Amino acid sequence: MTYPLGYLYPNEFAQPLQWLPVLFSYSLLISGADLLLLALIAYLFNKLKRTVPVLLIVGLAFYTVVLLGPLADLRNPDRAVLLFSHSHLFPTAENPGLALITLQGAVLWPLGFVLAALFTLLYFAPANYKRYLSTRNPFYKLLSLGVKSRTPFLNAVLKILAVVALIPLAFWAVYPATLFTMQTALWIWRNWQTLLPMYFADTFVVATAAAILAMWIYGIRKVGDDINGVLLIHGAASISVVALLVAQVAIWNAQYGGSPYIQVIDQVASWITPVVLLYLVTFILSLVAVKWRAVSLVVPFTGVAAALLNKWNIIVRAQYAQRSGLTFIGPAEDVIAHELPVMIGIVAFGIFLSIVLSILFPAEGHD
Amino acid sequence: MAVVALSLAVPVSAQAERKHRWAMYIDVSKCYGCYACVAACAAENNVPIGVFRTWIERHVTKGGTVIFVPKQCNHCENAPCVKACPTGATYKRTEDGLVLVNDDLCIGCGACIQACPYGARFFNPVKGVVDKCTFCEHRIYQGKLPACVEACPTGARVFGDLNDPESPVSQLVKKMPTSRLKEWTGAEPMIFYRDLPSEADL
Repeated sequence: MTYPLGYLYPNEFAQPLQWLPVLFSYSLLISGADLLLLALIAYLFNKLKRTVPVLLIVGLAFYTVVLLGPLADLRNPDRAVLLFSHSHLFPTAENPGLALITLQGAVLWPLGFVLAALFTLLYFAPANYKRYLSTRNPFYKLLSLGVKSRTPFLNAVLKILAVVALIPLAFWAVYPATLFTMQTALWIWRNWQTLLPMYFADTFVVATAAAILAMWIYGIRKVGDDINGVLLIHGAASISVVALLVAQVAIWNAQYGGSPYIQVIDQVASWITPVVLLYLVTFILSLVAVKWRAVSLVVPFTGVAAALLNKWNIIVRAQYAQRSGLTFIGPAEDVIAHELPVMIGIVAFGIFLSIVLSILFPAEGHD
Repeated sequence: MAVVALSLAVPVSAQAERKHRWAMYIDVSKCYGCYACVAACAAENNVPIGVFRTWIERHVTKGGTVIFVPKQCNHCENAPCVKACPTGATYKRTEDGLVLVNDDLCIGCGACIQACPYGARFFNPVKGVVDKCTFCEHRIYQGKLPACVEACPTGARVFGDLNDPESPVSQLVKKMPTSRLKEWTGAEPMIFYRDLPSEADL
């Protein structure tokens, strides 16, 4: 460890990573919000009809467990309930402003959850009523909420719900990026002008990757040509991320080229080259897969690999650039080891919930 | 010039309402890096090893001059850490403007650590919550000075109430040209530096 330009911010050396990054990056990598966004947009535009049920089921499952990531990230998780009982949502003399974490965690997540759950219940309600009629199982009648068929009124309610739900879900899809861009301390995040739009585009890369994988698990033949639309969204999102990353490197060079800051920027920018290459690979593969469907099985893996590397760079490595912007502390290698079991636990819980929901809402059964 | 700095420091509304406006004046040219303030603070406040409520930075100017700059929580008027706290555990006390942490409400999310432009906050591994300088609020209302101020052998640190026009800190801030750290953040810190080198303002 060197101190090239003075002894700066010693508290940073004690604990350079403030948000345990693995959990954070994981939990928002497939937050469910992105899948739900994709499902609702597809529903509103009457597209991907055979894929929407799968997106809803997997999306709702992962959206339900997403808070476990930030929860495990707290030093005092037993006090998480204070987020609701002592919400910093309204400015007072002692607590001016509004805390983004409170807004996202205590307001937008519950709101998004209620709306998404209601939408999913109503979406599958007629199918569940049919199941009730064939089995006479009262549980299915309960799940149908008394909705017997898909009427114009039901469609109108679903569309209203979809539009309203887009707001909290869109906020959740870019939650980490909003946290990073709103803080004033960390030099790299403060100077990453394309972070928010890039994160938003990346949301669709990951969502479509998860959707394609879900389609393969569900049965690629059953979804028909739906996959082509998802592949095109994946490609468009990937190339958008590439453009925004390249633009950011150009901005950094224009602003800080030749200054001591560029050495610290290089530590983060050096990872951008492989990230861009991976996004380009997934972009090309998604186009190829439109013609040769078998290739589409590779696309989720290249897409998620690109997103993982990109987010690791943004969330973890960017934090090693000090507040001064003049020193790069250097990544610690032991970050993953103790987080891995928690990470796997949350993923497993999400998959378990997906299975439960797929039993409650059979994708084959919808109208 | 000094008057401008003072008027920028505290919003007019706050100046009128508050009983006290605690502030610190630090003369960088008087600090020779003895670390007496760091040791006194750690002893007074049980600060664990490896983290700091106050610290001294050593800078070397282009001309080769070594300069020591004491730093700590700036008890900002417009504190970014207070806005970021999701439970209101971090708050700005209305009667004196001190930025404090309610240990019972801190959930340990780290948002305030990320929000502080000065690196003044840290997780206290003993208390299990976020910690920072309190301007020794347990001492100042007993008529004592903060531990760091009392320990400083050269009088580089001067502490007092800006609401009292006769206090040394008021006099110094009025008479001397001062600057504050990272003014571009809009945080309006309550620590006023004299002879602050540009190298220390990153």
